[in-house]
Amino acid sequence: MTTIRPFTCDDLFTFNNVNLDPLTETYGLPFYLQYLAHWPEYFQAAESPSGEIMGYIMGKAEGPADNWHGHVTALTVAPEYRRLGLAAKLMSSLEDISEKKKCYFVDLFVRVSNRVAVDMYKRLGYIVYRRVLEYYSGDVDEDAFDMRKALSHDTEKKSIVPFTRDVRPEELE
Amino acid sequence: MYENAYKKKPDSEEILNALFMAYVRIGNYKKQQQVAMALHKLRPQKNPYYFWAVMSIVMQAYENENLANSMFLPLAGKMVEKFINEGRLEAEAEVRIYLIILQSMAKFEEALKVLKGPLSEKLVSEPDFPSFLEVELLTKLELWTTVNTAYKRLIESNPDSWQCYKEYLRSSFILIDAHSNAEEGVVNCSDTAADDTVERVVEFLSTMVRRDRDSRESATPPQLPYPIRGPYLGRLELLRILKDRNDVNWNKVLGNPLELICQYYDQFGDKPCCFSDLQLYAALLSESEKQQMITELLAKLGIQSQDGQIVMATDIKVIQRHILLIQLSRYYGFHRQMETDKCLSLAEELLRRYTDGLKFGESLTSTDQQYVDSYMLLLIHLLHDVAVSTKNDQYIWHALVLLEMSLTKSPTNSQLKLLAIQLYAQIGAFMPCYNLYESLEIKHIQHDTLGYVVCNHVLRLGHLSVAHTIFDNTLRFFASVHKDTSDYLISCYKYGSFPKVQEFVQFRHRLQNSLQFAICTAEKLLLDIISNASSHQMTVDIINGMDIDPMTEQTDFKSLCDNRDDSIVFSCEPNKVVDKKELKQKSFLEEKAWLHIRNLTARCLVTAVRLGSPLAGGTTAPESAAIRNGSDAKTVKLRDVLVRLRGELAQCLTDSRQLNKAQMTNDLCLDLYRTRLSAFMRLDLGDRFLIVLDLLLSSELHQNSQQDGQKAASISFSPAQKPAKSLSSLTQENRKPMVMVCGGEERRQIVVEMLENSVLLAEHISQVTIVLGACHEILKPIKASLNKKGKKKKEMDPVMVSVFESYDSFLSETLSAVADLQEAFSEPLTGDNLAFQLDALKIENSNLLFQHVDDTLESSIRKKVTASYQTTAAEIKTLLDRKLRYLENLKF
Repeated sequence: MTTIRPFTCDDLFTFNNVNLDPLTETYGLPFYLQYLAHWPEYFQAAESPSGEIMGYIMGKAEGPADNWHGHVTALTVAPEYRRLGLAAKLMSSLEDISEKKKCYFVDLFVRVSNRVAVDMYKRLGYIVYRRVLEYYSGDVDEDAFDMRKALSHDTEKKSIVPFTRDVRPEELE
Repeated sequence: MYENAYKKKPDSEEILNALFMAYVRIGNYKKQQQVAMALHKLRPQKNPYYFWAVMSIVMQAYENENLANSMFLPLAGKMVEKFINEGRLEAEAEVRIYLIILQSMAKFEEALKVLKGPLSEKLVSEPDFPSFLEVELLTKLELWTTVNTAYKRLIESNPDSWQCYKEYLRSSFILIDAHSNAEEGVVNCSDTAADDTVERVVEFLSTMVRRDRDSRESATPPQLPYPIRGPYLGRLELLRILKDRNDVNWNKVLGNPLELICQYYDQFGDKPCCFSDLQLYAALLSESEKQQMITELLAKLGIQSQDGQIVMATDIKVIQRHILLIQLSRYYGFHRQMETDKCLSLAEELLRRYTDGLKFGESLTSTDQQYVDSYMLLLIHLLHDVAVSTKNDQYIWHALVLLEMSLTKSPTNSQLKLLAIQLYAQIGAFMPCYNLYESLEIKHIQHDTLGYVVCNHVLRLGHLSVAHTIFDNTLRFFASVHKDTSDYLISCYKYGSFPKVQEFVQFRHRLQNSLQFAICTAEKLLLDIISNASSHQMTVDIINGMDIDPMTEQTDFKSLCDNRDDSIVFSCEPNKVVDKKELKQKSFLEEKAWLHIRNLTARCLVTAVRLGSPLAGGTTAPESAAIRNGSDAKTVKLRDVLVRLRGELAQCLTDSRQLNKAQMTNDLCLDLYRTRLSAFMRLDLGDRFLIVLDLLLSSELHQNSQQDGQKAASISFSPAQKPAKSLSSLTQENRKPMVMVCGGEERRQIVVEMLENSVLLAEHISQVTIVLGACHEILKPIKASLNKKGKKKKEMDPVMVSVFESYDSFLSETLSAVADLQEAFSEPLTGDNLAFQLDALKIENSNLLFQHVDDTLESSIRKKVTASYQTTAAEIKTLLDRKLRYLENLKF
């Protein structure tokens, strides 16, 4: 049982039960405000009956010409609200918006070690488009999968023909 | 700057753009509007400029409620309508702003027309937005039948949307009430599709439940992999409403409530969220039904003890259900009624299950939580209950050992960490708290919302250098708030995200008026004033280096916002025991009172130092004549300021005394820790500070009269009463061991009070020292001139004699308090002594809980705690050493 609604500034005061998760990064204010100002429709929160934030998704639409696509910047669900299909619901709402914006595909980056997430995205129809080497910096740098799902505007499904080689983060446009 | 550039080149789009942004930064909406119109005139084909002007007018409406409806909103509305009529409306943002205006003016019907009309085609970016706005508008118009059917449709297409159920039920009951109020025959809407009777609501919800079951049972593969909670929670919500309305049939319309709840458990009991769902509906069951439910469901799980042997769960779903039942029984208050033995044996059982259940998590990664961590949380709470009821801190010690053990299995579980922070704080060991806090990677806005987790402990336990770090980190975040929010406020205009404009402005307001921000500012100031100085000249230099106006209060107490996020700690504490909302309210009041005292204390100190050294920062020629000449206007004024502040502080103390009576208790589930107000009051430190301020004021008064050859004017305030206990006796009383053995050999108590009092006393002594320093500055020339005149003391004004006498006695009392405190502190906190005391916290008991405790783990905890206590001691010692040198120089 969930209320999906636009993420607001005030949610930044109460999203801690989600963000205390070790894999969820807390960014500086400019990061969130940039998304809220530029792509407010792409930033959504799921709220529980008791008024708690269960999770949220933030994303954007970008790219030139046939690279025009929706991008998932962050997707996270608090531990106690996992295995309820919430992430899938948030993803599908982002895909809907991207469809309306006539995007060709939706893409996202995920840690290669995050099996649960990678498997979930696969179930939702995403494929591994390419591997980005040492995308995540940390004590030990980690690679990312660049995963994609084609939308209806990409009639020939050109966007999801896997890239032939691994890339470095600096090669990303 | 841009204004000048504009005057030179009034036709530059670029400059005007920059000028507009500059006004956005400072929030001058009127000017924004003018510049936007100038831009529009310059580039009439660019719609955004026109709508920048419209939005600027809307913001003026928000700012000025009086003129909002009579002037600003109608003007903004007309401007948009002009464009609509001319067919010049282009973007979605422009429609959105029109909707905002119409809603602000309560023109809901017009807004509905927009949604139904051609303009709605532009609303594409949020697919759900139009339909949700539509029902919202219908609700505003109180068209309940339409609202009701609209929400029914929304539920049908979105059966898991909580908001829809809530609104659906609300509108249904409004219709039901309308029916019963109206005379029969007058209202006739039974032929509509709206649900205007309880029966129809029941029917609708049952249909939704059936649909969910069918979709999973008949369809292969099931359409939805997860059962949705919506329809089931919807039914429970209906019962809750009926019960609240005292409906006689509330427990009949849907069958037995107990059964419904058990059904819910059957379906969702293996989900961690089930606890927070059922928590909402605890009131649907009577006490005996709750008992019955827990007993029956536990039996059904089939993992209860048989012949004294615990039957272990065979998979994690069973574990999750079991955890839920224990959580619920805690929430229902059953744990609070248990005897110590029962508590301990339940805790032991949970520990066994925890240990056994770790096997299910062997393949988890280090960033995952163990499936059985909730057992640990529950058993720690049980141990804490026992510690409280038996007044024996040995249980807390053991809880810490177990928690640290579980953190080795689940190194990123924030709940375990938060609980450990609370326990370490309870036994007065701040260093481990801080390390755990750091490991949570608190940053950016979390400094505001979560800083409280350590903020009240760091000073309470005297870790002054870490306090500096915490305050600096926090203040660094707040320093960039204005810039960060302004930058993106500008973006809102650029990207046409008009609904966000007001939201960003309110957000900025909330941050700028944050309680945490105010606390850190005040505490850092006080710390800067008292920490480093070992002579009065140093204090004078420090104060002169600060840009502070003691005349004005920095905190706007009326606008203060409590941004602390107290929802982070998962809690199963019964509502009867802990009403979190009420406690937060109470804590906020206490924080404000304490903050007020702290702000006033800092302002008094700054004023006192300036009063003592009116020429400080200028030349260093303290000739009495020079002081006199330079003084007149400024000193008199400073004196008035100090008298006023002294009065405010006295009033504030009186108010706080009232508040203090309703002081906060600290329950484990609550991490909004009390402030230091209660201890401060108990030691009468406020009154003691007032007395030394009085001494300064009378010195200053008589200095003037002495020099002007006039009689001293009467003191313009009533002097503070001297507290019954002397400072020395307080420091003497505070001489206690760190761990006390009580009740024969039965219990141990960690005397955290000793640390806390010592810190407060040391802080107080530092403040008194500074005021005495200011007195000394004033009295020095008088003393010098007296000495010059030779030994004609008898001619001295008797009042002046008494001033000198009280100065001397104050000085010697403070000096001996420093010595006492140093001594009282040093002995119990030496290495060997402490290790011996902490060793006594081990429990010898046959219960499994206290056996098999890893000795290396325990000794590492003991080391951490010892180091932390000793840091407190060392920091306080350094502070007092400095003040000792300071005070020595203040002797005549």
